[in-house]
Amino acid sequence: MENRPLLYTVNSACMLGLSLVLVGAFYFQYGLGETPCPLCLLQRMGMLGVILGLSLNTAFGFRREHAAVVIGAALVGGSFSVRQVLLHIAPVEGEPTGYGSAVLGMHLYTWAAIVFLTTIAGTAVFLCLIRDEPAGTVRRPTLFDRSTLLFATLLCLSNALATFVECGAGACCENGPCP
Amino acid sequence: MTSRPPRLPRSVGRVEGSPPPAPTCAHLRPIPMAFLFLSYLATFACVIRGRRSAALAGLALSTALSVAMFFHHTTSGLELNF
Repeated sequence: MENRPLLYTVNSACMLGLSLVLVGAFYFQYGLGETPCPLCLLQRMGMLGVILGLSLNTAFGFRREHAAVVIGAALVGGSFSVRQVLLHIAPVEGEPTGYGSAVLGMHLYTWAAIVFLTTIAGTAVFLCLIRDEPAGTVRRPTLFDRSTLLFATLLCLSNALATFVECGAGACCENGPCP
Repeated sequence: MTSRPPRLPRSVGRVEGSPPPAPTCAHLRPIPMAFLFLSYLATFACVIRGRRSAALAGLALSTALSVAMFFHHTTSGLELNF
């Protein structure tokens, strides 16, 4: 029994949703002037890893290994965001709570942790619905699939360029390159 | 160009009899962040070109480099914990 085409559309929609989260991060960076911190950049990488795992489904068909890649990337990204949540979980008297702006009452790293947890839960649901495509399968992606993959690739390139502009060819500190 | 200050011996600053400090990777030169994003970009290129094994290897390498950078940040003497 083959996988339903709707599942591939949902897979690409998830890729698009995660890409839009990265677009939102760019809005905070350039629209609101909040320079991303090192842990924020690492969380972006975690999201790119999840998108890459989903793009494997787009290009090569559903496989359990691809789901494992998605869960692995979500766990890595989730540990980055949970680390940042724990760093700012205890407010200091007289200082603003958390780091950066809040959206709907929660900071971006808290939202990132929720996104990574949702990714793991969603992958568990996907694993119940999909069937492994035979080895060597190369799918013909639809226009929507190809567009989301290209969009995510361009976002990855934009992140590389933005990080190079921010930190140069070195490590990033709180607001730009390390001294 | 300024010269680097001389490196102090490990015993400097330690209270006599106190345990040695926990090992850190702060002395390692960090991987440039932009380079990490480029490794993810190379993995995207592998997916688009239909090279599954290379994509899986690229993603494993990129993830490993991210985790290495994370540990550098958590143990570095620089103020990187943001």
